Amino acid sequence: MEPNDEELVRAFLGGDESAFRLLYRRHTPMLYAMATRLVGATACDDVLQNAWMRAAAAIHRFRWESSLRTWLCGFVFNCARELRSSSAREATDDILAVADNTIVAGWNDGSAAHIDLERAIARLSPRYREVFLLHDIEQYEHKEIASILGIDIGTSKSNLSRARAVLRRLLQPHCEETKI
Amino acid sequence: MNYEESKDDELSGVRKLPRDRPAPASLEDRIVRTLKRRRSGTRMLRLAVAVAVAGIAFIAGWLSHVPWSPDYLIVLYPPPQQRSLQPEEERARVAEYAAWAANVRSRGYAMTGEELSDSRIVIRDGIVTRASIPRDGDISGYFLLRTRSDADAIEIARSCPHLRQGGVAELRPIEHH
Repeated sequence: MEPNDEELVRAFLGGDESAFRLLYRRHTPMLYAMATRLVGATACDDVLQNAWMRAAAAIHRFRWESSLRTWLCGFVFNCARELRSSSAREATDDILAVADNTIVAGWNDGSAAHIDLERAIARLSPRYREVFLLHDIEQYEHKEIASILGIDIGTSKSNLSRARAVLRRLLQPHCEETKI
Repeated sequence: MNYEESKDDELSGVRKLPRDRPAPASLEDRIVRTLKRRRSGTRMLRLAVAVAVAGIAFIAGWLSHVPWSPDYLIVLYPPPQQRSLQPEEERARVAEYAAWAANVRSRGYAMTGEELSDSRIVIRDGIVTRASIPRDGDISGYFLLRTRSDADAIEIARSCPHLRQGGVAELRPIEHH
């Protein structure tokens, strides 16, 4: 039977490198997708690395009040935010490029609808995109989102509502085309 | 599933978007290599320090709380690249700080302090927000110190083992009303 996260963390703290690799392989695909949608293909490797390094440094203090995945997610969001605040360059172009390149990477089914959707998500402002990704893609509850992002529940709800409204507007012409 | 609001509209395709993306295999090795570099080095030294100072810390009553009025708050910020500590290293680190505090107290200064957890409960405009993810710039611990002398406070703060570990100490004089 696969060891659970808590067993792996204990083993990692005892110096077991393979335990870390198991944790990494278990959670990275989701974190990497999240990082890619937050900062684009150029910077997502650095965001993922920083997030794992910081999480590893703090993991002995993790109290299991949330799932490990939720906790790790918070590091990805913090690192992405720091990158955005320290970078003069707008990452939207990178993220849009990822949306276009996901067909090559086999990341989605390559349909026009998926590409349009990824492109529209990439165009959201960061604070709307963060909540949208966590709620509508990762299916977190607003209470968890508030904890991950350090915002209150009301802000999480209103940002999600605005994100959806912006996305609907961005997607409107394409949806009409596909209906024809 | 929390998707009722946008069911069957332009956003219904979101449910089919992939939640995972495979990361390059080279990235895993890069992260593990960096992690190993940070974890190696001072483990045995820290353990030796722990054994040497544990008795002193116990005698000094590190956890006791003495009723006195502090003059300075020493705020501790973590090193920018803090690495993960194994349990025995963590114990050694705590013991080192305790021994330092005991030494300061043995010189006649009242002092107490604690490490802070990564959890935060923020209350703003009547709204309570909880978070458990450490952020850059977060305080990692504090000491309260009684001395009327700026010079003494600076000298004591400068000798704190936190600085040797790459952390930052900030002295905040306390206003007495």
